[in-house]
Amino acid sequence: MDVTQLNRALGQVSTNSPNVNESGESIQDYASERCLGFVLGKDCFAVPILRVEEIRKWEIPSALPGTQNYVKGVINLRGEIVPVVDLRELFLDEPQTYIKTTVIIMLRIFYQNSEDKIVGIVVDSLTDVIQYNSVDIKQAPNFNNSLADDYVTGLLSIGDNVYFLLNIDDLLNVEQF
Amino acid sequence: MSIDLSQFHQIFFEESFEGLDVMEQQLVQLEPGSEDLESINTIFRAAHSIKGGSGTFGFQEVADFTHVVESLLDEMRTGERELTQEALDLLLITVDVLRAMLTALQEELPIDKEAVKACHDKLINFEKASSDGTAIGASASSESSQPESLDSESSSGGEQEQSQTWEIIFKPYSNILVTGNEPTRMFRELETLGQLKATVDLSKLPVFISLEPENLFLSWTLVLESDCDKEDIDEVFEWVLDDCDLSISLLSQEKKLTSEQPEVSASEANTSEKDKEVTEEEKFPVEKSLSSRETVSDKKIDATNTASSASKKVISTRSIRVDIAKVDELINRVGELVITQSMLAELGETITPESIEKLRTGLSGLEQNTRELQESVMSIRMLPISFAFNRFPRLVKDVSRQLEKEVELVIKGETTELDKTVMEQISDPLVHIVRNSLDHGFELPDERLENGKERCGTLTLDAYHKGGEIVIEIIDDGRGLNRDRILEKALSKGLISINDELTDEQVWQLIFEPGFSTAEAVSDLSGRGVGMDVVKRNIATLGGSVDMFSTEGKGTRIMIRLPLTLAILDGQLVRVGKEIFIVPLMAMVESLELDHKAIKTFGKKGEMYQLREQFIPLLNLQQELGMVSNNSNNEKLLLVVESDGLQHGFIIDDLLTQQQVVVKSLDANFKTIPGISGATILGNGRVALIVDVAGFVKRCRKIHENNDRMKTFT
Repeated sequence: MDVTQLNRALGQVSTNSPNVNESGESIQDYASERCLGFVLGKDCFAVPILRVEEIRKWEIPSALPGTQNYVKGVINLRGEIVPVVDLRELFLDEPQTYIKTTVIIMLRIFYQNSEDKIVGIVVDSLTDVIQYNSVDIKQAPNFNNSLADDYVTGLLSIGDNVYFLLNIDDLLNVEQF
Repeated sequence: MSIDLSQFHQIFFEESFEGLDVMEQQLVQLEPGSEDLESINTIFRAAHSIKGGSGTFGFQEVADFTHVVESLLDEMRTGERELTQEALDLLLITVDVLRAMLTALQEELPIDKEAVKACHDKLINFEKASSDGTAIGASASSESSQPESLDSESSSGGEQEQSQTWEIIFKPYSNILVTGNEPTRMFRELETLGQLKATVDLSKLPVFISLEPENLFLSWTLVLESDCDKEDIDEVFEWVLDDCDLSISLLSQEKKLTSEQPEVSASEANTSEKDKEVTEEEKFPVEKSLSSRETVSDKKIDATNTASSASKKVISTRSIRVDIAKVDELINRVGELVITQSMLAELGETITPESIEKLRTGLSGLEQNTRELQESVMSIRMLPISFAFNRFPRLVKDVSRQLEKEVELVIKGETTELDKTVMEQISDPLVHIVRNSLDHGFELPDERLENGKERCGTLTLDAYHKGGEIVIEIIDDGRGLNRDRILEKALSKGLISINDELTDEQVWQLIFEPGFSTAEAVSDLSGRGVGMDVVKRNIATLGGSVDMFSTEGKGTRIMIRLPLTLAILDGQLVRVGKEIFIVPLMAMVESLELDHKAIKTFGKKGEMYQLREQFIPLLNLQQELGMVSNNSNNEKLLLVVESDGLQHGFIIDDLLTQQQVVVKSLDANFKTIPGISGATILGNGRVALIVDVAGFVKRCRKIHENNDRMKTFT
């Protein structure tokens, strides 16, 4: 893999991201060429593998009053209180049906002005750890969907599936929950 | 009363360095011409705290220097002065100088007066140049609060040449000669670096009969004038480091030392003369003259002082001073725990029906051990509040003398224990309050006599436990708060409008607004209107509250309530729907079975409960927490809680156990939620939220008000 290719890939992704500063970290992580793919409904998504802290089986979180519907509550991650966000409710606006394959992916989120936080996302199932070439990341088109436009940093075509690469730092900014 | 203030020095330095960091950060962010009042206020407050602290601890140079900075900042804050790039640069330099001063003080080294003087002059010139636009020439400070001494003494310091003076205290162990090292050779090498003066300490020299020729009983204090680095000196001693006690410190010019303590200058000069004698004698130590003995012993004291300060030089990290009894207790507890553990382990080897009973006893023993262990661990963080109170006698004495007032300080309840983190953060607010009280609260002695009071006023500091809180009271018998003057001031500052009708309580709270000060003259002490807002903010961040009570002519009472500790809480577990919540035990009054007939409603909303003789508002936790109720008519319980002196009824589904819970913050991975003070992890590994009763009631009221208002308008 030569450097120019890598840079081009980085460039492509960064022109796409809504906020270059804030997502700078996540771009770096996608440049590592490995991501974790998961399924929500019919769609495939991916998050940078370097940000994944842990994957847990679904468990019912303790509800948090006064938060958005898609914040399912908090769970105990080895002594830390970690919020859990249901991506299906956030993206598809339909309540999750929790099935056998449902898991919580614990992600480390970077913030510009404060410490890292850990946030869990609920997804229907995991696909695989995807190995890819940075040049294969395609620029996301304009979705006419504010959620997608803001939080999808690129597309990755693997076999029959198209993975949406998520900008998790912006997506999981707890201040807006 | 003599109290060792030096025990607080470390805290003061830590706080000041923090303050300087804040100043620097804000200064760097500020743009010229910016009107970011918040930033300027922050810088100003930091400077003010440093000034206050250094004044308290007798670091007069720092206090004087900061005073100038503060005046400058104050003008910027009030908009009298524009924020130019020049000003910003100057302030940044000032921060550096202050940091150098404090570092020097912390390491007990002399302050670099030239740098301070230079910066001080710049500040004065700057202030003059732009405030009245006149020539810069008049640099001699005309401000009354400026000590002349600083100027005069430093001007003499200005003539010094560049070379530095190093003081080396060299105490070889007696076996150094055996290891093949020869001190004189090292001194010769030092001499190549610059001018060397050596003073020998003969105090350890035994009488001739018991003299061991192979042992060395001498130690030296060497003064080296050279422009060399510390490394160069280190190199000379490289081979003997393990065979001696060595301390190398940078000494400023001797002349400066002399001017710093003019009253001892004569003897000092004397000493340096004798130093020379000793220098010559150094090579022939046995031929010591009796006349120099005196000098030597003087020097020896010097040397030991410096040596002890050298050992302190290791900048301490955050530390805690613990009573040895507490540590012993902790060790005992751990010992018991180990015994219980081994007993349980043995039982676990062979479990028979008979051993079940033993196992049960063992487990209850374990439970008790754990609780005791937890208590002793927590008690380590607890310090008597005298740590915060002990700095006040001196402060009160100095300040009241300065103001020509007569005030007696009474301290009560100084053994009341308080968590260290809480203590650290409450000290500053207390200083502000006491200073304010001395400055504004107390009248002059004659005025007191006229008003039929005793000449000497009384300031009382009191601390006691009440419920799960600690209460600190600051009571003075001064003139009290003047309602009209506060209102007038608040009007002129635009804090209130002319039509506002305020209760006394509300008026007193105005004092805690930023920038509020009723003092006519800005003094060294208070009256710049910083302080009280900081006081309130600091206390609020600790989860406490501050109340003021005042009667004009009689005095003022300030009451601070603080949580005892921030880490552990006695809680009642309650079930609401399917969730478990924790209500702090100290907020609970009672719990009883809900009698549906006692619920009275206003329309469909506004439920209240007739509890014996009184009516209390009802809050249905299940609804308030946004949970779908499953079976509303089931037997429910009523939990009566109290906050801010008002009772409320919470409707809950079940009461579970009471237990101590470890408070974990939601902020760490999430954000603060109103009405919830934190979370904890239960025995089964699940998370339970801790209800902040006062916040929760407030939150519910707000939600209902909003809803009702919406309804009225639609």
